[in-house]
Amino acid sequence: MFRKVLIANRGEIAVRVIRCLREMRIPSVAVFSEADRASLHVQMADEALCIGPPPSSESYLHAGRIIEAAQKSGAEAIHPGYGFLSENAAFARACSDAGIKFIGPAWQSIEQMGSKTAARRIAIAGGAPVVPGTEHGIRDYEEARQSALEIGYPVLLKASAGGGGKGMRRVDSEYELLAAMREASSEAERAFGSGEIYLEKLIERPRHIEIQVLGDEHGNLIHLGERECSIQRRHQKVIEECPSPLVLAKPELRTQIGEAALRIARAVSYANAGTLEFLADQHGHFYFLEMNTRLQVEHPVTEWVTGIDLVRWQIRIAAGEPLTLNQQEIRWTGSAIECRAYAEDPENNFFPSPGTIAQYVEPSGPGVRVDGGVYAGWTVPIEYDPLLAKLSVWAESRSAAIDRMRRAVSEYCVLGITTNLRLFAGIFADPMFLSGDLHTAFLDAFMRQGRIAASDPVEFVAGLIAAASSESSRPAAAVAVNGASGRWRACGRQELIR
Amino acid sequence: MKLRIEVDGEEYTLDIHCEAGESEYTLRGAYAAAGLASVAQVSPGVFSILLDTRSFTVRLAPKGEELEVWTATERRFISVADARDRSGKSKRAAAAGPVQLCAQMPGKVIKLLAQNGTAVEAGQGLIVVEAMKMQNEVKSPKGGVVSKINVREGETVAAGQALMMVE
Repeated sequence: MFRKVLIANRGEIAVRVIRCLREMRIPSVAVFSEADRASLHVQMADEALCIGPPPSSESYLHAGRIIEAAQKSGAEAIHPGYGFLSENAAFARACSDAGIKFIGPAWQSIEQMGSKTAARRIAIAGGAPVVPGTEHGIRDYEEARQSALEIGYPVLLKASAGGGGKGMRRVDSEYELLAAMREASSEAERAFGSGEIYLEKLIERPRHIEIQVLGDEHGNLIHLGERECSIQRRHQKVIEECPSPLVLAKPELRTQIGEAALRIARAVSYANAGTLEFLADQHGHFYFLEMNTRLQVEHPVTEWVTGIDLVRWQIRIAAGEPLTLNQQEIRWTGSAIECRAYAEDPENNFFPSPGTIAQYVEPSGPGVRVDGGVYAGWTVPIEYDPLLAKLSVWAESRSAAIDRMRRAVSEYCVLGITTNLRLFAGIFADPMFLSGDLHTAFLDAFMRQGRIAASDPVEFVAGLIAAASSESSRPAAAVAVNGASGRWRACGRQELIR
Repeated sequence: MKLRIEVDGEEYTLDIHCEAGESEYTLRGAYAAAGLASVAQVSPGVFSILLDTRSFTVRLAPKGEELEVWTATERRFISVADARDRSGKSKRAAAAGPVQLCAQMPGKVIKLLAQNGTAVEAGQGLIVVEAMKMQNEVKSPKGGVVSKINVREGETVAAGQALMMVE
């Protein structure tokens, strides 16, 4: 086993990996940018090294500095988390060249799956269904126009090198095509360093269902079932669950999609944890989209229902251990749901809202897990993804898990910055969500309803009394007598809480 | 003491007298209520409130001139002032005439989609600002002509900074 592991990431996922390493009694090394000196992952790690200024390109995306940090600290392996360098084949290869184990698949697998168009060809060769579309990057407008015409509108433009919805555009008619191509390509260029985009048929009311796979370096490969991630905003997942309600209705789908996923993963001799994303229509037809050759944000959902610690297995597999689990032994028990708590404003088009967290109280109690990366007093930096924490729950059934999630959300308090937490209470009361009738545009439709839950007037009064009590407990001289002094008072108080 | 409270544009007055842990309150405004409350500050910024037998935890944090008030199902911003303060806040008049576009948060100007003098329609994208790895298109709030562009592509902007004007 490794004697020391470096985590080339930040935030909640760095904390998650550090926790696992501590359980395995492996010393952990955090890396951080100048913006993250006071971050939670730095506090929790055994060792920490600064790797550069706040911009990701000069810190968390700087392969050379990260490898240097590993060498300096004597780390034998690097866990890349998700995002940043986790799906960068050149980085994985550079680690290997430097004699450091990359905790993830072989760089060749990352490279093969790194281009969505190449992944698609692999899937077709492996006999897995794919969405109709161009199988290579689009060269110019004329080619895009022709392809779109053949496939039929609506079509979707996507970045060949990317994920997470960056460089993705829906196009409903030829009229919109040129502008959408420019936007998608420039966004892709900025996010992934490659402006290559491709085009595919848009499946109406699709569900996003993905399969977790786990393979070792001795040829063993299993799947750990699905996660449904249809609740998204701007193509970024917000709520994930297992089992998928579609699988609850059609239990044979888990095996069918799982086996398709294994065929594709086998084609690239996949070793370590990976996820194959599929679109499914409402009838249960499914199409391979892409493979994420890394740990997923939403991995806790699978950990809850299978009882398998994915991060621990990632590390064990990277250290050369064989999988001791076989497919027949995998059992899915109960139901798990995860909500992503973001520093963003659902009422303002989910715009990021960085700032200082004034109060922070996580929920707890039976069946509740929080994978957090923040604390009260932490200033959420503007440089990175606004994910604060992941709240996940487990219960015996989907409806009990939803009840538990509503309870947990009501305990979760973040003050000082705007978060999407309040949104969840509404979603978990929505009849469509409760019935399991999900699709990837669910959240957009939900937001358009603009339904505001009836508020409890007694709770409202309690809030006012507390506010009044806090005002009256301050020295009398500080009570506002005009607007100006009010402003001074507020500033003075902010100084005090810094 | 008598306090003037503003919540979501509604004004309330709250009379509250505390004696031996029990507070007698009278709320007037869009919603009226009166009774006895037990108020306990359990830690800085955290209050336990009992109204009759109903129990609530309220968490507070100052936010600018307002208080951010958290309860189990709501999060509100309220401003509390002594009732003798009659200055009031001037409600912002609806914008007619030139409209100033400002950055909603700190970020970087990625692209200007209009130039000085460009005629634009309401909802048309004018400027692309990136923050937290996300690009956001600032759209024109009305039809008109772009004037006074204050930023350049590649420039870093602060929250509230003026970007451009639409006349």
